[in-house]
Parts: sequence; C-alpha cells; structure tokens
Amino acid sequence: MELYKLTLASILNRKTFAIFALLLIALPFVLPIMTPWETKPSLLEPARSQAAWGLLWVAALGWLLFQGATIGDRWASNGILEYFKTLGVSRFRQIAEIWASVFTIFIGFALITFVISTFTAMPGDPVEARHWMHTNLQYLGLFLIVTAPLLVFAIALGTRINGAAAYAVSVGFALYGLFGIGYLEVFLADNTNLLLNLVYILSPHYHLADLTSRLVFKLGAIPAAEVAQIAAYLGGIGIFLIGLSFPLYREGK
Amino acid sequence: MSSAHHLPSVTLAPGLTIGYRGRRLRGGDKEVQLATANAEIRLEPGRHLLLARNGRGKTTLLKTVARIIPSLTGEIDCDGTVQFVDEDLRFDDELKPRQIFAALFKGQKRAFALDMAKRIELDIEKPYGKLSKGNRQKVTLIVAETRTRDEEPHILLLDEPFSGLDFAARDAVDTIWRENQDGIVRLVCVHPDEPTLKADSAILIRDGKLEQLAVDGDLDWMETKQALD
Repeated sequence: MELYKLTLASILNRKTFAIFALLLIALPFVLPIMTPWETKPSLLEPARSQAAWGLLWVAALGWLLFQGATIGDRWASNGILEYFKTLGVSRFRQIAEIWASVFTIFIGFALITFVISTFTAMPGDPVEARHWMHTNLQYLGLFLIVTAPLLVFAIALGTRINGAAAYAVSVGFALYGLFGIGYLEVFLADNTNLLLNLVYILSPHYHLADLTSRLVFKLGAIPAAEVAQIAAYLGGIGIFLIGLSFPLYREGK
Repeated sequence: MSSAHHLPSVTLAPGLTIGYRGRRLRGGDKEVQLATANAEIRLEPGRHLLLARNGRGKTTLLKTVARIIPSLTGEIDCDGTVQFVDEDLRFDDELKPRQIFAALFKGQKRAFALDMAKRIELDIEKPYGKLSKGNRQKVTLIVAETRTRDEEPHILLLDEPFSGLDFAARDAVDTIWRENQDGIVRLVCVHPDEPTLKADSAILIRDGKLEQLAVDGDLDWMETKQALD
C-alpha cells in the first residue's frame, strides 16, 4: 500500500480537495437562495438537492478526473511507477492503489452530497420521504458506478500521454456520455442514418446515472428491476473502460 | 545490520546481450545492440561498480537487470528483491522528505530513514521541489537504503547515486553502506571520473563487451580510465 499512501499524501498536501469539499458543503445552501425563491418557497429544498448533485458532477469532472490524469502523468514521468515495478508491484496493483487513493477522498465528496441532499431537503410526507431516500441511494450508487471506471481510464491515459491531454480526453468522454448523447438523440429523431444510429447505440449513456430531475420533480425511486438494468449497463461500460485502461497503462515515459 | 536468511546474487549468463528493440519499421525490428557478456558475470553480496563511458549502456544494463526492458538475448537471474533507483527518480515536489518517509515506511524502518537523514544532513522539513539536486539524491538514497533494512536478500541497482552529492555526504553514505552490507548486492553505476570508491568488483562495458574485473580494495582510477579508453 506504499503507492496508495504516497499518492494520498500527495493529494492531501496539495489541498485542492479542501476547496472542493468547502464548495460542496456551502454552495448547495448558498446557490438556491440566490434565486427568487420567495415566489415559491417549497422549491427551495429540491433546488438544494439539485445544486448538491450538480456540484458533485462538477467535482467529478473538475477534480476527480484531473487528479487521475495528472497523478498518472506525474508518477510515470518521474520514474515512481518504474521504481515500484522493480519492487514487484504489478500494473494491476499500481492502478488499484492510485485509484483507491483518489477515490478515498472522492467517496467523502459523494457522502457530503448524499447527506445534504437526503437530510436537508427531505419531504415532510413519510411516503415521499421514503422515496426521496431511495432515490438518493440509487443516485449515489449509479454515480459511483460511472465515476469509478472513468478515474481508472484517466489514470491510465495520464501514464501514456501528457496529463492535460489525458484530462481533456477523459472529461470529453464523460461529457459526451452525459450531454452529447442528448444532442445526438435530437438529431437522430429525423434521421435514419445507420452509422449514426450505431454510434448512438454504442455510446456510453452516462446520462442514465443522472437522477437530478427525478429528485427535483419528485418522481420517486426507480423500480428495482429497472435500476438493476441501468446499473448492469453502466457496469458493463465500466468493465469495458477498465479493460481498455490496462493496455494504455505504462510505468515509464 | 540486516542478516539475510539466504544471500542475494545476480548472474548474467554468457551470451547476454543488452540493447534496445525499436518499433517495427517496414516489417523488421530496429535493434540496437550495446554490449554482450562473453563469460558469466556473478555478483555476490557486496559493492560492484558499473563503469563505462557515456552512451555505452550503463543505465540499459541496470534496467535490463531490473526487468524494465528485456535483454536482446541471454538470461539474467536475480535472487533477491530488486530495487532500481534511477538517477531521474523524483518524488512529488510538494511533499517534504519527512512525509515521503512516513508514506513509505513505518516503525523501525521509518526511524532508520530519519536517522540516516540526520547523518547525511538532509533537511526533512523542506519541500522536495525546493531541495537541491544533491539533497533530492539523498532522499532517493535514504528510500533505497531503508528498504533493505529487513531479513530479506536485496539487490540494489543504483544509477549515478552520487551525482550532486558533496564529499561529506558521499563519505557518510559510504559509511552507512559499510555498516549495512550483509545480504545486499549493490551494483553502483558511476561515472569513470568519480573519485575512487571501494568495491568488490567492477563491471566494465567497453568495445561492446560486458566484463567483470575483480577488485582488490580500491579501484585504480588511472587503470580503469585507460581500460575504458
């Protein structure tokens, strides 16, 4: 676990995690009251939940993937990974230790959001409250299924190419899965192009993990069978991404 | 001082060739051969110097022994935990040496690292990125040395470990190595112009050949220089 501890020490020492943690705690309370919420006070709590989850996605794209890409780049460029290789630490274990060190902190971020969204915006009605709790749990699970493999991909890419480029590619991939597919879907509504439809089918539909609108409009928890299907689909993409990451991973540059 | 259960060794079989295989170009391998061992080279616990002029394959040999790159032909047998300590190995610029040692070691090993830092006059509270080249080299040497403080056999492959170190620091490291030499093979790549170091043998790379010379105490600098020329 030396690489885990060395990477964790490096992240903690750089302190950017503290800025994101503060923003994740403060902004869900600040942002909603910067709107004309007085016209409908009942919207304040769903807006808090929306802000909390929105900020967590920002942290995933802006902090998590950046850490993965730059740490991969730094350790590979500085000879650290080659050094651990000579000590007999396999590439699987190297990726796992780096991944775990970054994700340890990110799990903290996700829990902050989960707690704020669940407990500071929970509806008063007991049935609605139960659904609220379930939806937040489902959201947390799906969110982690998406972000965990993306981090592996960013780390592996960082060891092969420049850190900034690795970050851009991994963020681009995530943004495409979250938002780009939506535009493609609109375009395909009036288009029967076989190739584009194939691209649509093969694309990573990360937007399925975004349950923000379900919370805001209080649509209730997703039925268990359906959420299991979504989790299996996103997990499959995750396995593919992890499988792609191993050949990309290099101990030295 | 560590007392290993069994002794480490490195054996380079006759016929071993080191070098690089380039990317496949137009259907063929672009191969750069640097040196070949015509006779067996065996390194037992002790200090062995690796000497050659620039670009003759010193670092390539160390990387081949560490299995970072494959040999072109021939076998290498390492019995022990291998550490390849590259001259360019760098830790995170923001971390202080104290934090690096805390992340890598615990208990007696950490205490040894802190003690060694004191002996070779390393400021453990200064961020790594603000240390001079010599002081960064000290961090690497401490990490490598501390890792050998157990009962296991160790093989240390050190690439230019003294670059940037002043005489006092070299002497201090030399003393620490002598105190802790049981059960450790140290293959130390040094520039031929380095001041004389005590050694048990020397490996020379000259005219594309890898050769081992027995050394009786100090290596004669002039003799070595002439041999390499």
